[in-house]
Amino acid sequence: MIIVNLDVMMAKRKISSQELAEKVGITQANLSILKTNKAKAVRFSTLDKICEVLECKPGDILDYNN
Amino acid sequence: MLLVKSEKGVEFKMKVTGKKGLGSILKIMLQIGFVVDIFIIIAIFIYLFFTNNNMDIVKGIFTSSIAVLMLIIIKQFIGLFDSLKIEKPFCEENIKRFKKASLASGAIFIELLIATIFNICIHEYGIEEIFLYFVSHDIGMIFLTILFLGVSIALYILSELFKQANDYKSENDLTI
Repeated sequence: MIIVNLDVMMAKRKISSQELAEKVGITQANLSILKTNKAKAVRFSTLDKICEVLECKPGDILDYNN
Repeated sequence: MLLVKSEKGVEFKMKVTGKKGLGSILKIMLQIGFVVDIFIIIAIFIYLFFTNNNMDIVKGIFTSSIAVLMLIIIKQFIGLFDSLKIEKPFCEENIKRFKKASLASGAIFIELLIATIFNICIHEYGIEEIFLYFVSHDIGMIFLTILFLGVSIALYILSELFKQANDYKSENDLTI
């Protein structure tokens, strides 16, 4: 199962959900869906933008748990 | 309904969903049909109250049960066109509506099948007093029976298609 560790990276960068959502260009509701692992899929463009804003790699926010 | 210029020339473009879509027009027609159906049922029950003829009573009960099933089908389609009006066609409620309409059509098919079998068998033996007529000709009854079987199957297929569409939509909605 893919785990999304956005909370950890957001805490490290000291950025709020509202600010991140605005900079990435998604709604807070969608960001919440992503953070709570309810998302079915993530577009590369969205992931690209998240990594750009949080200055991290995809592996820093995505993990796999068997 | 608009005439739109395109690369191929002039095309008709019809709005299906939304407040001024085709669905709204059909919904009005269905609502009229719904009211007419209720009046028919009331008229049948009033007639049944006053008649003493056994054949008429059986015929009346049969006809009114089909009218009630038609009412169910019409109500489902009114609900469906309401969802088109708010531009949310692919939802759980519409899947259930198609299934209910399919079941109601299936029930009408069974009733007409019973009536058709009685019509054919008993007519041959000339015992016309005890069976039911819906139309004056056997072929019309058979056609109607097959039609409702087809409608029932088609509505079930539509419910499955809408279920698939709803699944795709849910997945798309949860794609960030």
